[in-house]
Amino acid sequence: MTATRNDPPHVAAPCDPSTAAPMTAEQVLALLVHSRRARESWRAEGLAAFHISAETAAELATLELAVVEAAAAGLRRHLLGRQHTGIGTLVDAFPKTVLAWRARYPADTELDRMMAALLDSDAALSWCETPAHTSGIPLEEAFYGFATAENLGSPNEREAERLTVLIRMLAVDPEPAYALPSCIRRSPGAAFAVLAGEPPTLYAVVAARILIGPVTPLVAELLSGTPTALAAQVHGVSPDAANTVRAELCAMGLIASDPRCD
Amino acid sequence: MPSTVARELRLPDDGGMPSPAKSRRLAVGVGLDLAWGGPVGFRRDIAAGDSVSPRVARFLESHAGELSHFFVSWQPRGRGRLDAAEYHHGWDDLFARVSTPVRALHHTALNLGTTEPYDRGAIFELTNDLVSRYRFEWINEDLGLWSLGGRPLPYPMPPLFTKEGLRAAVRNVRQCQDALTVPVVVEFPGFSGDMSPTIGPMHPYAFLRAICEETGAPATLDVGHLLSYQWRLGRRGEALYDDLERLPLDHAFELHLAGSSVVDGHFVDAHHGRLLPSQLELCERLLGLCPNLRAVTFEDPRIEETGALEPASADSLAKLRAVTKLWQTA
Repeated sequence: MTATRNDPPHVAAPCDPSTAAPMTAEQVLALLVHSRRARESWRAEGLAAFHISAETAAELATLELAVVEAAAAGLRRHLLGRQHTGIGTLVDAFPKTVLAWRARYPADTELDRMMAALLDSDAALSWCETPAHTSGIPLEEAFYGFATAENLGSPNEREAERLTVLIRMLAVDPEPAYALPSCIRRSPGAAFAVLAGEPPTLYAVVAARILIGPVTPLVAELLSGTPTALAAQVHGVSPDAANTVRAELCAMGLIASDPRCD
Repeated sequence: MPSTVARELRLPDDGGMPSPAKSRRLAVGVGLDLAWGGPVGFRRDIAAGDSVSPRVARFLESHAGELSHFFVSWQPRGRGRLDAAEYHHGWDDLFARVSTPVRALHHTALNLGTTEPYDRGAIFELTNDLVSRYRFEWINEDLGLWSLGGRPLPYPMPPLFTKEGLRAAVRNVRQCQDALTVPVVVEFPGFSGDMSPTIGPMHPYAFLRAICEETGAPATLDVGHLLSYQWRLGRRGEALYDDLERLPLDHAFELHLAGSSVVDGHFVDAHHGRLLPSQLELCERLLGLCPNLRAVTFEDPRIEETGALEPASADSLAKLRAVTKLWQTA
């Protein structure tokens, strides 16, 4: 668990002092820098908005709201503008989802409101990405969770953007320092996900090469782990044909080898 | 394993603390923050192997011989698990072009100011590999919060100037001293723009001094960072140079100078290669106040496509060399 995820999700969340440890000054600072709602509570209620000791309250007395607001704004600008190899910015990664945000909030031309809402979201609570923290999710995955909660754009397009980003990230860094969502399956030579649809779409990275495209329902079935005989039965193909397809998937590294592939 | 320099030299008034200092004073060196994918940085290339950008290569081709010492700032190569081998190709290419043997690493992930749990194990492993492979003689990092709750910051925040902040920083520095194979030099943090929240009543100069005295660590005084603190207090003119006696002057091993500006009334640690007159003035004063100072480093000069320094950076470097000339030969 990271310090961030030990924090209460929002400053206004009920907090029972008898069971929760008081926040440290650094935890309060982190909350204030990341959460617009926390800053609003601070503005309205002062330090009484936080579950902190009297000593921490005294330490925080030197903290200036205007400076924290400026630091928070700088962080939002930084996160919106930063680029990652193979991914680009958040806007590059989720173009249709961001367009949906712009359509809903046309006055948010700089997307600052979007970034503030993202950082305030429950989805962002698991975001963490320093070399010392390897169990958090990347900001892109937090954005996907945020967009889903906000119902931005079409679910299918949103999921397609998400899977494209995750596969690109894995192509660049095959051993990620962040937690992968369960929709990504790993095999010895590859990582992949299948987006349901007609036809299903495969998102895969195989030997550092990205494969994105439609696949047959049988391929999707086999990639989901269904036994070959059952998959053949479900999709009305012969066991031999299904075994041939499975062997090809094994050869690509998408499915772990088993005796039937030899 | 400590470098020869680190083993041989000791600051005189510190009870025998190993120091990365050379017995001689170094002429002006250069430090570069080389971001992956940036025009002044490294390039990732799976097929051909990583390398420095052409701009950096050209700069080192034409200027390497002039650099008394050189530091590189560590920037993450990507979002993969830390693995020193991932850095070797790009950094090998860099250091094949760096002729000076006096090299240092400017860290950005030790997070020396944090009061929260922070697992440095993988960071230490990577760092010691890089120290050994590239023969870094010391490691420098700003005493600050480089991340908050596991989330990166665009500019490090000052540590907590409180009793707990001091205890934590001492603990962090000692842990780094124990785990890293060359000395850790602790840098005074910046208060850039209006983006540096400050917590606690302790004077930052005295805070750094307490840490250096408690841990024996050498210090880097970043001239722009010092000015940014005084500017933040509303001081101007001669008052910008107040309180210097509160700094750990005996522990000061290196001065850093990075281009700075005043924008909308705020002092900005811009790293754009243009030094303010007040930076040169403070540098000159510190040269006379820090008896164990060994290195003066110009951080992040602007490099043109041709590899030449931008005129403003070249001018700043020339002025810095002029300011330090007497000190360097004394």
